Amino acid sequence: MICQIKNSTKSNASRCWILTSTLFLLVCNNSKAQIGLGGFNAVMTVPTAHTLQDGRVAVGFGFIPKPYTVYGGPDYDNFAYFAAVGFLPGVEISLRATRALDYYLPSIGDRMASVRLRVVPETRWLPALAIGVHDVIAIQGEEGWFNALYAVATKDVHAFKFFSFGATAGYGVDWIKARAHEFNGLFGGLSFGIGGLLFVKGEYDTQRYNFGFGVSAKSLLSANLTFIDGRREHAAFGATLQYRFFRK
Amino acid sequence: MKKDKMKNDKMKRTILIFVSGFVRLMAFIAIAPLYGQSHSASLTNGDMARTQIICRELQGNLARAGFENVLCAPQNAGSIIIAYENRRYRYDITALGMVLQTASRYFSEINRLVLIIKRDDVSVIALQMAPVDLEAYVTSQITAREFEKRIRFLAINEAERMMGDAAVAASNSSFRKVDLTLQPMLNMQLGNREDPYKFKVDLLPTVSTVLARGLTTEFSLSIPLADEISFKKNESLRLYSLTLSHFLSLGRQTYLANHLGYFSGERYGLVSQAAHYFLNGNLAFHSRVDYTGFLYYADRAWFYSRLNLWTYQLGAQWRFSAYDLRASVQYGKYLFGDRGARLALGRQLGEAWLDFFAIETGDDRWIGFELGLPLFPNRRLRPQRFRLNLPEHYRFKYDYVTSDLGQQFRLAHDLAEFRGTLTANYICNHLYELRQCFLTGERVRITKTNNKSIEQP
Repeated sequence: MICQIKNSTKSNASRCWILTSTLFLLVCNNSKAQIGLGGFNAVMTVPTAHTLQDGRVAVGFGFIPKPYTVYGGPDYDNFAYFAAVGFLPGVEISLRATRALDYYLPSIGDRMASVRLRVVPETRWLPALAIGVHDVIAIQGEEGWFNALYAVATKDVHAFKFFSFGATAGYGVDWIKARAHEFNGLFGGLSFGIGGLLFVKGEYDTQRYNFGFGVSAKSLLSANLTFIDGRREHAAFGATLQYRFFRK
Repeated sequence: MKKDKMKNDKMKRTILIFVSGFVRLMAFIAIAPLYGQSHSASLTNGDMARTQIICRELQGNLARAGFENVLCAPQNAGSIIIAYENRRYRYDITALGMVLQTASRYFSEINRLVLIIKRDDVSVIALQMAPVDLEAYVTSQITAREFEKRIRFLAINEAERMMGDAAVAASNSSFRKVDLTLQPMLNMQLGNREDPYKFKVDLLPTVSTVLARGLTTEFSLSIPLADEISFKKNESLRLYSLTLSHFLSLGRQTYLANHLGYFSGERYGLVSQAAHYFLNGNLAFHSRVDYTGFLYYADRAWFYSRLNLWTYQLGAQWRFSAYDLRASVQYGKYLFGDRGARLALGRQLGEAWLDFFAIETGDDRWIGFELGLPLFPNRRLRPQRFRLNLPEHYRFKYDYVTSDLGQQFRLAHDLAEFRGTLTANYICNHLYELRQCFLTGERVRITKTNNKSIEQP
């Protein structure tokens, strides 16, 4: 949208400002649930206690650069594509396939399923609390590259209906036998949102500190850019498209 | 003496008054019903005549709107029974909304509405509501929960008895109307070492028709468009299925279905199904027994086995009505002779659905999911003698399977899917969609009538 104020009159300027503000507010939302690079609700890579809204479906992708990759080893970039659904209120199920790019063997990648359950919804004063288990299909097997079992709490605070601040803290364990574990230990993150459109984020994923940005438009499209370990040359990114099948 | 005479006169007068009063009272009691009867009879005759006119008009309007097996009958003055079948709209709630919207122009003259919804001319669900309540809900005077409490779901046989008494002929019969449906079918095999993405795409032109009440036939061909999976890669066109199916309602929530012919999965024979619903359709017990053999046609030759395989499945399903969630458990014998259990948890997400399942049979166990997505358009062509149709949903099934165990071929007209979303709880949960359809239809109607300068009813 380009506004041309030729006469620089006050009325034109105010009209343009109102129009721009309206358009900006139209694309803004205060959606709490944001799908991260891994196909589940996350700050960027670490999970939050929010779950997808009931009946909402998200599809997307995430790219993690080497050497921070797990699947295929640290020599291959990882590309994940996923689908997640708010199966019930407070229950999020996601399916993901992670490919090691340029890997010497052709493969669809590692397939994994995750189930996340929000056990306590967020209230005015108390945070939401969720438990999650990732890579559940391979619980009995040896192929679990992304196994995780954790509990996480998230609290969002809104100021002037335009700014939001979110804090997440969680703890994961490696109780399930698997090839590799994620979020094993203390993890957490912070998020500062402007108009529900732009987010500045920072997180600790039990090994590294990451920071980045996120954008979200009308609860439909969201994207993340993450600098892993704080290094600008190691940028991870992803995007998600969401749709809700029914509205009550 | 004089005193006694006066006393007798007084007594006689009292008796006379009492007797005459008694006679008058008896006469009034005897005549009063006649007065009442004649008065009410004159009212009823007038109202019944008007109700019959409304029924005739409404039946014609619904038939013109593309609904089939439409039957509108007056039950008594101001009370109407509407039976219909929907093959016009993809979503049954939309169809119900459109029927109610069509009937709404007569709402001021109707005080009770009974709706019987059919499939293949077999009654599936019957509900009763007062138009006043619907209007109150649509205009936000009452909540969905209040409106839900005022809807009464009737037993099928009770509703059919009401309809049977009316003895009216149905309009726009669905019998012997041919549908040609072009349906794409996508199979994927993921994760093979040599080629991780293998696809098989077929086009299934399917011809189907309803021959009589509950009796349908379907003929389907398979045209391979791309095939990286099967060994029979040289196939061009082959028979996919040729079936004759019969559905029978045994009154109170019990259904039987028998299927005969050549089924997908290269099996031929007979399949028999039964289902019984309890608790407003929330609890269902179902069974399936197959007696089949192998049949395959290729290179101008038939390959077949005799009818030699009995398979069966028995199961139960529970619907958690608050979330349109269904949990089912099933035990059975499958095509490769293996026996095992299947657990499933499925959610209806509006017009889409998502089922997760886990199977343990023989020495193998696996999980998977099945997804159904609604396909464009929402409203299809009016059913005619011949209609080109598109599939309502796209189905996708994924299971992490390493063997052929636990397999069963799909039926085109599966009894398990016969009711679909036509359950009491589903309708009650989706009254907001019904309201939306009703209001949308209302807006269209008003616009049309304004354009044509027709007086609003």
